[in-house]
Amino acid sequence: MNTDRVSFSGLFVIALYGLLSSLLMPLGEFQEPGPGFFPLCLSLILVILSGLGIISSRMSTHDASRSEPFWGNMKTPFKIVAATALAIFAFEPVGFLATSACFLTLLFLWVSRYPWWQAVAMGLAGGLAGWFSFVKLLGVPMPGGFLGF
Amino acid sequence: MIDAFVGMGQGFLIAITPQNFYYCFIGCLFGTVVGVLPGVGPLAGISLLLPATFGMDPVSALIMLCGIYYGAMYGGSTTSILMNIPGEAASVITCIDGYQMARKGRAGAALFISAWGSFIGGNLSVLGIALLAPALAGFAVKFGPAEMFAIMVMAMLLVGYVGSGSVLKTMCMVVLGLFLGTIGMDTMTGYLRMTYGIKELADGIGFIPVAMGLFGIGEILSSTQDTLVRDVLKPKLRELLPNRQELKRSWGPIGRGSVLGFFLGLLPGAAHIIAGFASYALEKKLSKHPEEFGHGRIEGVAGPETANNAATGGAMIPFLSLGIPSGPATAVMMVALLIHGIKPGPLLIQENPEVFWGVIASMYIGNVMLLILNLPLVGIFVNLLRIPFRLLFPIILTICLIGVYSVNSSPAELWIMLISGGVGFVLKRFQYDLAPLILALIIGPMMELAFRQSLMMSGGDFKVFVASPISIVLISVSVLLALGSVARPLLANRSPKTPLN
Repeated sequence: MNTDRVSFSGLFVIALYGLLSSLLMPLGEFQEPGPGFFPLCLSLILVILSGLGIISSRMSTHDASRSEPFWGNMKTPFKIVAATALAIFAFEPVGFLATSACFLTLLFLWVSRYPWWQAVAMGLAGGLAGWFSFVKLLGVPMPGGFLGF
Repeated sequence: MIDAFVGMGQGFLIAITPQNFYYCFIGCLFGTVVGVLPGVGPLAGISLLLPATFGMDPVSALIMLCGIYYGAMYGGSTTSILMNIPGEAASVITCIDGYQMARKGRAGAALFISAWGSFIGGNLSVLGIALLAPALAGFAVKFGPAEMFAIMVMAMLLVGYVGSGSVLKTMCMVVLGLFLGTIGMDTMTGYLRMTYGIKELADGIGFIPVAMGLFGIGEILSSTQDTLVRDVLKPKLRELLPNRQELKRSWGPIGRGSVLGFFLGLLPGAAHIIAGFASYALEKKLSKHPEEFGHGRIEGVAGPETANNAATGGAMIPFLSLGIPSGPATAVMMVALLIHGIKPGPLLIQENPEVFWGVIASMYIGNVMLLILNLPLVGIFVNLLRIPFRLLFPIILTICLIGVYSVNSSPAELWIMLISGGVGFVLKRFQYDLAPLILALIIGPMMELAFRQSLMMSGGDFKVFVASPISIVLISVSVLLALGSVARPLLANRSPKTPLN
């Protein structure tokens, strides 16, 4: 199965889901279209376009055109997503300064593979610099958390 | 015409105040930096500094954001010429001849011509905005909902037609973006659509978290293996001046690039990228020695670099005079103005002339600043490329978190950003263009409102969309674009295959 067929199939499923969701909303009438009318039209267009995509990918002769591994090394992107998810969880309860310092340290250590003392130093410096520039200097509202900063 | 010059005079008085001058400089400097750094484009740059604009007055905010936008175009050429790595998508084409010139010891000349062409193209396009935008805004006042809907349909189809990738994939992204724009509370009835009890979704999927996710986090996820130490060709200051022949050969491409770039900039989508490619193709076609393109011809640098800067000016016209952003970067600027309570559109020039003319005048000043920044200080900017990506990306990620949280103080938007980042990463792997999705997301709610208002005003009669001469023209162009989009791949399949140059 080529990658285009996979992606168009995914879009087709999304379009079908959109179609069903739109049908559950009030559609109204032509003289007063309801909230479901426009999403319904868009879902129908997406069904048609993704359907055409699936058909054209079936006819495509370039199935073997991508010889390199499609996903490649997924470990690093996964680590980044996991670290960011942790930071989002901690953002409000722990506060901006501590979260950003820990987040930076974690990324420098776990993903960038700096020695631990460098990662900690850079993480702390980065967190403090971010807090000072954005919160103190620019007055951007950031959560204080239980630590208060 | 006289009004434009009077307005421009007033604009200069606003732009040269110390505060606006300072923000213009900050914008240009930051723009050059994001242009130089591969993987951080103008959209990410504008989004990163968006929270900093909340405490500013709207004129200063827009002046700074515009500075980032056109500053990135200047900075993007530096890495293309010196390293064969485009700092910004629009500079891809400059790599071809720019890097070859650098290898032949003409890096300084290529950088000079690139900056000079960008300066000329940028300034001519600003003149174009000053003359054309008020006229277009005056005309757009006549637009009703049906005309607005027709122009948005045309814009969306243009995105698909002029896009560089597959038309089908681009149109899927457009429709998906429009569909995502319908999530949240229906503005006409108050009905909650696809919010699944998540109250943060009632206001819809925020544009900023999606943009930061797709272009910021998505880009980082895609580039995490990029930890290479790069070789940089360093030009000496005395080598910066081009010789007489190079100067002579550049004038034509700079003039043509200015005009071509400005008009292509009016098109929605990735106009500044297309402008560079179109200019390169034009110069190659007009050249007496097309075979020398790709081996270090100055025309291959002068034309595209002028065109992509001129396109940034052209792109400001639909945004300022119609309230329709032509690309993701102008869409973020639109959000910035909306946050400050200013609605871009036909009435902007009448209701907020200080914003319109102040920004236009600042673009002249910004172009001069960029010329000064980009030539003598090129060595300093090149050193930025020595910062390893493994040090840079955690900082960018942290700024993304700050940028998104600061807009609405909502952790839900941080989750939207992270999910969008994952989606952007996957879509990039599947070779989908993300700009149409983001553009459609912001146009979607406006488009739906215009569509439903038109039908309600006409009592459900679809003929309302072809009732006025303006909408007839717009719908006809849309039909032609749709047919062209269908026919183009079919014709491409029929034409004999020729080896790529």
